[in-house]
Amino acid sequence: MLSLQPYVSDIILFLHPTFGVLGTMAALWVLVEALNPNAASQRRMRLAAAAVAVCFVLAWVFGGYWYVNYYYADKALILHGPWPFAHDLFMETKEHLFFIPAMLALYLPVICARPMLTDRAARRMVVAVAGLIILNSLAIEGAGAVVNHGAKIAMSHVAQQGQE
Amino acid sequence: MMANSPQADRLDGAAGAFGAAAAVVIVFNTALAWIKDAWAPLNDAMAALTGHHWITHGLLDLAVFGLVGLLVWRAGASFNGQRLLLAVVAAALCGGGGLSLWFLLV
Repeated sequence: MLSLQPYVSDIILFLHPTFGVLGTMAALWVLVEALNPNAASQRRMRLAAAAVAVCFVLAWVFGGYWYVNYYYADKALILHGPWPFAHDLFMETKEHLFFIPAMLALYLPVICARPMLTDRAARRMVVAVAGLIILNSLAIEGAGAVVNHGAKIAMSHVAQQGQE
Repeated sequence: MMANSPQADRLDGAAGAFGAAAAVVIVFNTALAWIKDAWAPLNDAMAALTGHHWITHGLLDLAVFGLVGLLVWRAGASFNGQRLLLAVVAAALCGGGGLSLWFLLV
């Protein structure tokens, strides 16, 4: 029987961006519903807003667990590789920037509880908050790709040195 | 159809309170990231508290968001919707930009 034990850190690592992307897609869903409100969209918007909050909490838990328990090895590699800025700039920014969409994701279900058809202020706030979550999340996903590449080229650098 | 009364541009209750809390916690998050990065004793104290500075940072953010939101909610505050929206957007843009610039320049 296949044991998942050797892959636990990889599974956790992949769950982090998976829930991040799902949360971002749910935020886009909220944004579209808020731009076109009607009697039927209110329930869908609340459901999508709850999905945003749940996905961001899960992305936080999985990403945080991996960062605290496994990232140190990648960090050492990156800092000794050709792209140390992948940690110094991108990871440092990403790990603190993440809290901004995470807090906005927790706020989204609260503001979506207001009636969108009659509450103009709430509707504008939903559009702004969902938009900010999407923009921040795309930046964070991009930063994650740079961190990943920083570790990858550091390893290929080590492999090249080993062959010489 | 949208309501056009002045009341329609107010955000009160939980929606207003936690909107204000979101703006506050975003500024707090950025300021805490700057201070702990510049002042190692704070970073060390935060790490000692939970085992990792980032865990403490996240828990503090959650606590500030929850406490400010509940306090403002209980106070019964009502906000101009446009101004609260601008506060949240400005906090998010300045917070994100401030973090990027800090780790780029420092």
